[in-house]
Amino acid sequence: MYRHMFAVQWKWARAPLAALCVLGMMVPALAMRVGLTSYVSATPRDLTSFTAALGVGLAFLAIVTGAAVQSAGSWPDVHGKYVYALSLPIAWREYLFHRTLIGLTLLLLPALAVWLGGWLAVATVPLPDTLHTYAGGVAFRFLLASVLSFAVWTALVQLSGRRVTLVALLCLLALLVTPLVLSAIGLDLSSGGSWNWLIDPPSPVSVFVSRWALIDV
Amino acid sequence: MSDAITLRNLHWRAGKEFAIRDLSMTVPTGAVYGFLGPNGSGKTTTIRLMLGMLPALDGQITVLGHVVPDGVHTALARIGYVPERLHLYPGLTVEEAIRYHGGFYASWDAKEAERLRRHFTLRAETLVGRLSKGEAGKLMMLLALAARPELLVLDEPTDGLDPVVRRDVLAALVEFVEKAGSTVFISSHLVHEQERICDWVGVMDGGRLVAEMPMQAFRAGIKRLRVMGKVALLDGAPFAVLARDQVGVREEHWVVRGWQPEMAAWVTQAGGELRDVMDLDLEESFVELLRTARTGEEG
Repeated sequence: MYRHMFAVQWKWARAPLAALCVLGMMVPALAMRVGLTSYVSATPRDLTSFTAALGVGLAFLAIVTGAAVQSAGSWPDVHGKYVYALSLPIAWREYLFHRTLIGLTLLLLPALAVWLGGWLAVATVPLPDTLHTYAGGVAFRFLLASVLSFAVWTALVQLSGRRVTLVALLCLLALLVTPLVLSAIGLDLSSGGSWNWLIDPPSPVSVFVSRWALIDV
Repeated sequence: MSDAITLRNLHWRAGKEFAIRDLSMTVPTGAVYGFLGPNGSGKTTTIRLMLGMLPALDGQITVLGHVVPDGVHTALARIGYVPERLHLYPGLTVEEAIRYHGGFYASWDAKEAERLRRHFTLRAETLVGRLSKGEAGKLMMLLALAARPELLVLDEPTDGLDPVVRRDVLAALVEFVEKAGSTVFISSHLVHEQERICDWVGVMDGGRLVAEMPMQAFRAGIKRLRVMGKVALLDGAPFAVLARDQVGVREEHWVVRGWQPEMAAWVTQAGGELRDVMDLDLEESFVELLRTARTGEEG
């Protein structure tokens, strides 16, 4: 059964996955290429900053990857109002577990592409001894970010349109009210500003906004 | 032998307009049960409730000995289901859809699936989303039959199909039932079709089951009487009068339920002259039954 579900989900996801893998390989290579062009007149610190800045593209790509793989796996059921899925002789929990597990497995491919792209990018250029490469680290961060995006989309797909609106409103309310409440009770979880608590560790969102440095000191 | 499906005091509601109210129903094992009712009477909702796709507000559902919804996926492994609209994934080819579906059933008969695919002239490489309505109906029937189910639940399986495809689909169904002896629950508003294949009938209207009986009793019990003369009141009649129409100056047609030949004497005693007792076909019986049920509800 898992084999058949995998084959079907692979068919639905393979086209977007192929595009995402190409993009995943291109971003690190592009970052290095553009960075090296500037390297002639820049310091190693400038180079690392530049590649890290372009790494933001990977964070965005991770969000798209999670959403695309999730949508590819769930759209046919959403479109059919789950009638087919519910008519199959499998417990609903088990069905969702399989679909999620397959989605997570497929997310490995773009992460692998990012690793390969990063590895090729740094392997083909001479770097100063003071700089080190982190292709594996960037790929792992990409995987975590795409898994987080996948999880958020999975949760949203399970909700009705009305509930999605409700969750969005509650999130907005929480964003507006929480800093005020924290400030009122004298707690300041942030060191650099009232919103940093949202994006600093241990917040899961930190995986998107932290430094995506392919090369560093 | 236990019944294939039992519903007891089932309640379900969608908004303020529609509700299933106190629905109790029994489908005997081995029966070909025709589930009749006009559009919007609650047939599809009842099927979705019995297959655990909708949660009942109250009541008990048992299908093939399994309580729904707790044991529904175990029951579904022994059920072939054909919904009223195409529910399969449109991006798969016919062959992929067959392979995918078969992966969920231990009882799947791949050879039978292939035989039916050829019999129905379905091309393996055609995308499900590009099938015509008739082809989609055939594919859904194929998937239901190749799982070798003990219970077939068919929701308007031939609605909108042309006569040739309808005949193909029904022939495959009849052939399967003859071979396997499975129970069939077939919902439809195409009464003539049910008349040909069903041995039990349940009639649904406005979310209520208004009749449930063997087909023979349903057909035999409702008659049209041609009566001459004036019978002022029908109070005390040993049969139920569903409709009474003045046809000529002295002639009336009565549609009655529960008719027995010995009841002719009562008509004579009441001042009438019974000229003829006519059988109604299932559609006429169905219409009269609904008319009575609705009149009773209004009254």
